[in-house]
Amino acid sequence: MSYVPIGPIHPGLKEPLRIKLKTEGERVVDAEVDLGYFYRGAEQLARGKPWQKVAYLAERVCGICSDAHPHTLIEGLERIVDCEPPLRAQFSRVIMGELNRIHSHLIANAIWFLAVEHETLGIYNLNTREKVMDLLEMISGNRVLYSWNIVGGVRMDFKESHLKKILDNLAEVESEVYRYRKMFKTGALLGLRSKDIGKMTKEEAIEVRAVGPTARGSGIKFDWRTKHPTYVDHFDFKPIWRDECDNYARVMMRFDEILESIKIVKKAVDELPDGPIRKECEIPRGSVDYRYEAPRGELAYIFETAKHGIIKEITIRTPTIMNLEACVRYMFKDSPTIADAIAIYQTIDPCIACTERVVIVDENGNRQDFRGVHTVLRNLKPFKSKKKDR
Amino acid sequence: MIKEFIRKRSIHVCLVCTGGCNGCDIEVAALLSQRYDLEQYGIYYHNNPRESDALLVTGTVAKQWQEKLVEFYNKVPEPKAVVAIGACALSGGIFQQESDKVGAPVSDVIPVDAEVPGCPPRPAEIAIAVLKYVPPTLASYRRKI
Amino acid sequence: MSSVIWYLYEFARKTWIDRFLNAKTDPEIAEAPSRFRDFPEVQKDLCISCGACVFSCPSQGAIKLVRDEERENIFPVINKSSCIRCGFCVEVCPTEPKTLKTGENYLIMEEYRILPQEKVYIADEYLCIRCKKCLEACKIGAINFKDNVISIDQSKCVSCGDCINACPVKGAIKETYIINIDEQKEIINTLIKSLEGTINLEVERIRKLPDHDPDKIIKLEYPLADYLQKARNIIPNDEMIIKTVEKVTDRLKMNIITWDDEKCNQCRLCVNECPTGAIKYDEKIGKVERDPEKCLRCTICYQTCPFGVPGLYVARFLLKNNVILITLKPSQIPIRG
Repeated sequence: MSYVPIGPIHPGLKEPLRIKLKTEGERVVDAEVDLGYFYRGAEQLARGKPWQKVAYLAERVCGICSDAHPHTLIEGLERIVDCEPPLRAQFSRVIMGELNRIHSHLIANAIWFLAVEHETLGIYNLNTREKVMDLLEMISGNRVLYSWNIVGGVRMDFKESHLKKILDNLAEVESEVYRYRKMFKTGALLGLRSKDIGKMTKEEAIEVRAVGPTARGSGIKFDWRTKHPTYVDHFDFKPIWRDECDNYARVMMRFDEILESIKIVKKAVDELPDGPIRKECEIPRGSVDYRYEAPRGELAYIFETAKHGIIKEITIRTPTIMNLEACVRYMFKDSPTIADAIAIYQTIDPCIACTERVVIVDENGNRQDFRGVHTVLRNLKPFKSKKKDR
Repeated sequence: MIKEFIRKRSIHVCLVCTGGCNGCDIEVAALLSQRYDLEQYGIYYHNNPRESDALLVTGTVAKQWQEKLVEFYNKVPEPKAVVAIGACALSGGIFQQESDKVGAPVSDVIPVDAEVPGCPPRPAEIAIAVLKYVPPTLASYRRKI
Repeated sequence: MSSVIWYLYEFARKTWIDRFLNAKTDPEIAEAPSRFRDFPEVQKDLCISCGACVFSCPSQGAIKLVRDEERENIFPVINKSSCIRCGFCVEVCPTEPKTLKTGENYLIMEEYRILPQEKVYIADEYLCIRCKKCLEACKIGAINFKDNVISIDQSKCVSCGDCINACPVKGAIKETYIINIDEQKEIINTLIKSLEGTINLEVERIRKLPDHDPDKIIKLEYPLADYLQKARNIIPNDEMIIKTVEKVTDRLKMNIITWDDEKCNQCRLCVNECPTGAIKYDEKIGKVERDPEKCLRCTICYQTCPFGVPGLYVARFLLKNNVILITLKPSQIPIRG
């Protein structure tokens, strides 16, 4: 019985985090995760600020799903006013969101391939991602933080040349993703590193409330996009899922989702309606709980506004906190080697920058500020599984 | 002599992320792709401070990092250089508002040799900064007594 | 084995060899697209020094207004190390053409209100003397004069404060902070409590004031330094604190009630009259007692008491050079009994 600490800086981890593995020989029997290297207090900063500034702050909660955060905040604000943006704005939001999802999934897979030391596919994925990043920069003006959404619509309009370039680049991305998918499917060594490793059954996934590709890789057929009004009305969207429940399923899921996203973007570009891209909305007092499918899973913004659209109270629930618990509690168990533990950790596509906004709430509901205390996930009591419409 | 000549042409960098939004980190990761191909300029990227010549620091210095970053800096063998990337590392950016949650800028904690402004900077800007400022810093490095 | 063959096949693919032979550095690596939001450029001649860019910037300290000695003009200067390249300052800039420029961001639609506001300016119809000085002072044309009424267009206003400086009547244009309302309430409550504390220290002097003589007054001074320390803990914004204090001291009229036990004959008339139960008769001691915490300062006990046990004085305030001047006068309300 020995302990192996990994991190906070480690070649296998892209973000600072400490994983403590309890091992018998090479086999992992238990694990702990310590967080706290990323705390910035984004929610405290958002309180008492006008929404225009909070949208920029929400973008910087996470740099990888940086479309999903302002998207959720702003659609939430629109629910308060009950103001539906024009159709062209809705379609351009869909295009931006899906392009963001493609780039996020590509980098997640690239990092997984680098974690299992398959550098060819890892670098190929990164290179393909550059084509998507070019599109994002051309459309919005920045490679990572787009500032694209605004209450009542979007900031800028597409030009004809932009739409043409989107279709051209996505055709290339599609053919290359098919190639990588085939390489991953037929590669014998990759199969050894991925199949039957990091198992989490459907029941376990429901118990820890896993979300996003992690849950869908374990056979849960749920995606928040199936409840999004634009997707329901104009896109025939069905969630993708697999039932292998292991690393292979989760990596394959992401390739499949990229292909699905490419289909959605192509349809949106073909059917992009004419018309205005913005509408005037004045935000009154109110509160809302709005959820959206970020690349990593369900993202919830629960907030309250005062007059003139000033944010009074805000809580952000990001997908990684649930997925991390799923990873620590079920996937690490019986991981055959320590090298596989890092590969398992990368398959849940962790985003620690999203996660670290911890506010400690005690039994009486009093809020305490975070003082850099280590959060040990295993010591938390498990959630009792309630029946939910999943 | 030979050592200095070679060191100019092969820089090992170590990326330290001290709590930003990940934007700058994925821009550094994008440099690995064939399109930018960091290694053709002689820069090798890995996450081990003991083997590296230069630290790339991103992010606001979160509370846990304030002491650890100094330890980390001491582990880098001399001569060494530090490049601060992004608005968060230079001034705290959007997070430096009426709060004591962050310890930015990085230059308060460890000495910084080159700064790359932007939120986030483009990959080309990072590569140019590393190529332009790190070799002269390493050449003119004086050991502290 | 199959994977090895696959890699060899990959390696030998014709497209790969073509790319290898024609390898060149991609020009797109260094070139940014036309929409790229770089650090904003400032054109000094166009600036009207309204301060909308400073006010809208989400990152603190990224834009500062600097005075140019030669041109006698104030213009924004951008600090590259804090600028987050969001382009919001360009979006809110009210001049035509824009003073700040970045990428194609100045093409953003201007007909919608996007400026985040901390302050709202409202013209008071009754106090306004229609001198139209504010119309000349406003550089953006946000103030309209129609049907003999001056009104401020909220969608154009950038909260620069020029109209208030030009206005000759105090209070004709009102400036209100709309953010941090809870904190503002806390500031006001702390101020009132500390003012009352200061007055209560001088109770003995106040009691000696002869009743119903309006010419006799007491003057006290309350320096703000200690209070500012406390208020900064609530919200670290000096400008907001001073403005709130000024507004409060201009309007506040405080009723001070003193209690003289020696005159009391235990008739207990006031106990039944008190609406909040702040006055109670304690049977053990045989004394009527007043609880200042519960008291509403409604002055009913003062009007009821036949012996003059409660004394009523009115305090008024004025803020001058960080000192609050307090003036105490006996009340003019007649006693009912």
